[in-house]
Amino acid sequence: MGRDTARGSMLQGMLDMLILRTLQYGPAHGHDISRHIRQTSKDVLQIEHGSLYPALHRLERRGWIASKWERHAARKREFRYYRLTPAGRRQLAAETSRWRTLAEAIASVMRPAEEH
Amino acid sequence: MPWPWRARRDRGADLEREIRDHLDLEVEEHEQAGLPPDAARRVARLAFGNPQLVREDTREAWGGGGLERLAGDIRYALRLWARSPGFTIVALLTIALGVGAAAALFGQVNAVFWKTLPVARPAELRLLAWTAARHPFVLGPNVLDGPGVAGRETFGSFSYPAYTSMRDGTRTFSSLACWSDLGEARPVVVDEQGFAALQFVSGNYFETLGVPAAIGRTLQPHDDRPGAPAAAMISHRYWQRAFGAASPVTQRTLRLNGETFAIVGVMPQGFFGLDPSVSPDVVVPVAAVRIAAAMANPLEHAGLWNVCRIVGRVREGVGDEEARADLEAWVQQAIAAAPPDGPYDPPRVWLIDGSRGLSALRDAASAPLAVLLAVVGGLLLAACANIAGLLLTRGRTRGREIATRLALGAPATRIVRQLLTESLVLSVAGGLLGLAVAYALAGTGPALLSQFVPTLFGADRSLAISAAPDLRVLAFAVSLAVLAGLLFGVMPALHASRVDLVAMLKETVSEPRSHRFGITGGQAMVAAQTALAVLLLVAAGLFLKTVANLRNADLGFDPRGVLYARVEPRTGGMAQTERRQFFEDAVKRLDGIPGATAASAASFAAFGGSSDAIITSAQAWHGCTPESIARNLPLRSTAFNLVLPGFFATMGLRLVSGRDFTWADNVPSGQRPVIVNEAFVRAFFGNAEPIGQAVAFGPHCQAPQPRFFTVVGVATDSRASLRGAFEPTIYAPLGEFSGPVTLMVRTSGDPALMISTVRRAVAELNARIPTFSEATLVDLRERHLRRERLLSDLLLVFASATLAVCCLGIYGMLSYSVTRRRSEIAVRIAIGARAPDVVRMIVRESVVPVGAGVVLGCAAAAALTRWLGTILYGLSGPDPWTIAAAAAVFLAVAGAAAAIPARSAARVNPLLALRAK
Repeated sequence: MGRDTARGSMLQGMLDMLILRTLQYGPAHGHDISRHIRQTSKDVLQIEHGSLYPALHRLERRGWIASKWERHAARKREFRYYRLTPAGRRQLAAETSRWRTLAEAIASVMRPAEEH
Repeated sequence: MPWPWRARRDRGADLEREIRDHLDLEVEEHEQAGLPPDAARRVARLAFGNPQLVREDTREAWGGGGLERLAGDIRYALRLWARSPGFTIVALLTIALGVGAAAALFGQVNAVFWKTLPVARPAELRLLAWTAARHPFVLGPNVLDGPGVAGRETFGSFSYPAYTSMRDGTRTFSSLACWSDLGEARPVVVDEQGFAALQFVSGNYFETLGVPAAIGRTLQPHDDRPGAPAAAMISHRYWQRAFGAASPVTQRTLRLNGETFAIVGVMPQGFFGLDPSVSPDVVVPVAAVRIAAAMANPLEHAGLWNVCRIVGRVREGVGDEEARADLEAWVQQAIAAAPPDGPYDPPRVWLIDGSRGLSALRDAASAPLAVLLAVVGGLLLAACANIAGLLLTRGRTRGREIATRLALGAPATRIVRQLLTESLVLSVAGGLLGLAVAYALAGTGPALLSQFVPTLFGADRSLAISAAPDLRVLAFAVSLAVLAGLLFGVMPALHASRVDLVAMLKETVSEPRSHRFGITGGQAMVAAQTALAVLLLVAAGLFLKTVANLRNADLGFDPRGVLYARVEPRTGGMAQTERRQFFEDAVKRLDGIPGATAASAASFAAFGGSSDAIITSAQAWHGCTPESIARNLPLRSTAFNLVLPGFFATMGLRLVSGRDFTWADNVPSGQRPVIVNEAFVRAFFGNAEPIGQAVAFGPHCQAPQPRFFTVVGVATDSRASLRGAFEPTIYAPLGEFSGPVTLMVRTSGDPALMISTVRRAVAELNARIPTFSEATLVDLRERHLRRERLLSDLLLVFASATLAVCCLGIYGMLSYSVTRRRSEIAVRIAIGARAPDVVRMIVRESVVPVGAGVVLGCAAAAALTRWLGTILYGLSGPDPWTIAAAAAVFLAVAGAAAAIPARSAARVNPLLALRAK
């Protein structure tokens, strides 16, 4: 597509995981999700909005999240809300454990040298 | 899983809303943070990224992106082609003609070679053939050629006793049917209709083939018994032609050779029996063969082996070898029941797949179809090359568009895919148009093919095979169109995508990129087309020369002024004993016609009748003299011919020594005179004086008691076919010869004008015996050239078409070059170049490709001459004159094509041209 695809599936997988985790707290629309991730990570993780929507639609195609247009409580307009499906919950659990294993592995490599 | 189309549209709208909402929220956020509205908007936009890219990536995520891209490409291609209607129409027509002609041809090949017979379960059918080294159980030449077995000559017909022996005794075949088509050897006349193409079939024929009647009933076994009421079936086409599709036809009758037959049914449309090269009008039981037979009770004669071609349906579960051995045993038993004198080899029976019927049509058509396929293929290639060249040219003018798209981020493969799609849209559209062409041409196929099959009663056969395109042809046409599209599209597509971005955006038009050898793709196309055009021109020239050589071949006599008319007294119900008088009276009557200088008759006439024959009419046997028998010399073959007095004068042959036959010789008596030709003398007598010597031929040579004839005259040599040699020939008196006889008349004026007079003269002698196959000898010789003439005409047409296509290509290439180099030309003219210099400059661009093409074409043509070898005549090895002539023709036409743009280049106004730059 003429863009740098060097991010690869690892980063794509992480983005998926972050989205699923965010939705675990409850339904949200796209803007909410990106803002939540930004705020929770204290501005470290800033989702490029151009990756957010493709990711959301990809997750929806896989059946891990579902979407619906709903009326916002405060405003007089509809937004598209995404929610986690049961399959998505299972996927989140799997991804989380995979991520933990990866994080521990990296941590043990990076640990300062202790006793020999 | 890709979403369906309507859902995609909805999702597209949804996504728009989402993106808009997202942006609005972002703006809100920034405004709340304190930015002014337009700054907030700008920041939000920047943070979001490129919305278009977002849309595209999301669409990717939906899947089915490839299909949507393809649809987009196709729509774009359609708009593109609609924008340049001139080019599109020309390209479409070119492809349509090429693919259409190829598809039509493929349809012919399909109909002739691959379509199975219109019968039930054709794969179960088997045709029979047999071989035997010595076969004296066959009386004379009374046996038909067989369907081919690899590398062997076989016989394809059996005696009736052999057939019944197999039919009644076999346990391996569920049914065996007998049929025969004797053609002009046993003509049958329908009262008031003329000659009919007739077949004799056994009572179980239709049951064996599993073919029902379209109207009425089929022939049944009870019709095939001696003494049964005479019954006949007619073909669908004959019913329409002769009876006007009247119903009820089952109450009508036919008089065949004087005997009345009741019509019991009409055969289904499209059914023609087992031989695709013949389509019978009338079908009668084998028991009725008496109406055409030369002898009484031919079905009981053990030596008459042309009565039955046999087709059978093998029982389920029985292997071919078991079935074959079974039938062989029954045939051998039948022969043993009535053995001939002398030793014989028991025949070996062969089973041949019958699903496609006899191979006469396949054999006759394979060479012409192969040539046609090669030619059409060449034309299609030339057309593709031409379109490729034109596309390459267009590709340069689209350089800017492509450069822009590449700069915007499209990958090169995407560009290539899109350009290929454009080519494929063009080629598939052209291909579908071509299918319409193929449908239109389908009807002409059988008519064309009938030219390659021997005539019947002087007229071309009407083949019943249907060459209408079926699924196989459709698939072929579509694949060919796709292949053509890829062929002419891939090079321009690859070339166009390898564009130098910066240069392309700056310049209006770029220089052509040279490949390794210093020529561009366009020039390579021109070279390829040139080679093809030269090759086809040479081929056409070779065939034209062949035809001319054949036409002028020395026959040993002058064919001008001679008229043939064939006659068979059996068609009027005449008895065997009356034939001699009839022939004599006919000849004497013809001799008396005003305008006739001589008349005679013969059992075999050079070029007459079914000459490239299904049934051999030129009988060649072995000749012998008392000396050759005594010394047991190896047998030499000789042709023989039965003639009446005046034969040599009529044909224009000279009697070198001795005398011609007299009318007294025609009556059987003690003396048995024969006349031989010079070739016979050379072969059998050497330098000895032949007059008065004893000779014999064929069965007369056999032990125990050879019966010799006395030579009374020697005649000059003659040829019986254009490519044959002067063969030794023995002439004997005609007598009451039991086959059809050719009457011949030499006229002082144009023989074609005498045809009706001759017809009337014989009709006055006996109104119930009509003549058939009337033709002048010159026309018959032309008919022998039919195949070569057709090929040379076709090659000429295709060569001209390829030449035109090629010259269009040269014209296009050079005129584009003029456009491109306009400023250069202007500068040269301004400096002082004159018209001839400018012309030379432009034409020089074409010299390399055209020169290379001509050289390549000539080399290929030299190889072609060798490969065509036997089909050509009178040409030994590669013919330099023809090649040189073809090259000259090509260069002349191409030169004219090149001159036009070159001349317009010379007239460039330097001031105008430079100012425009």
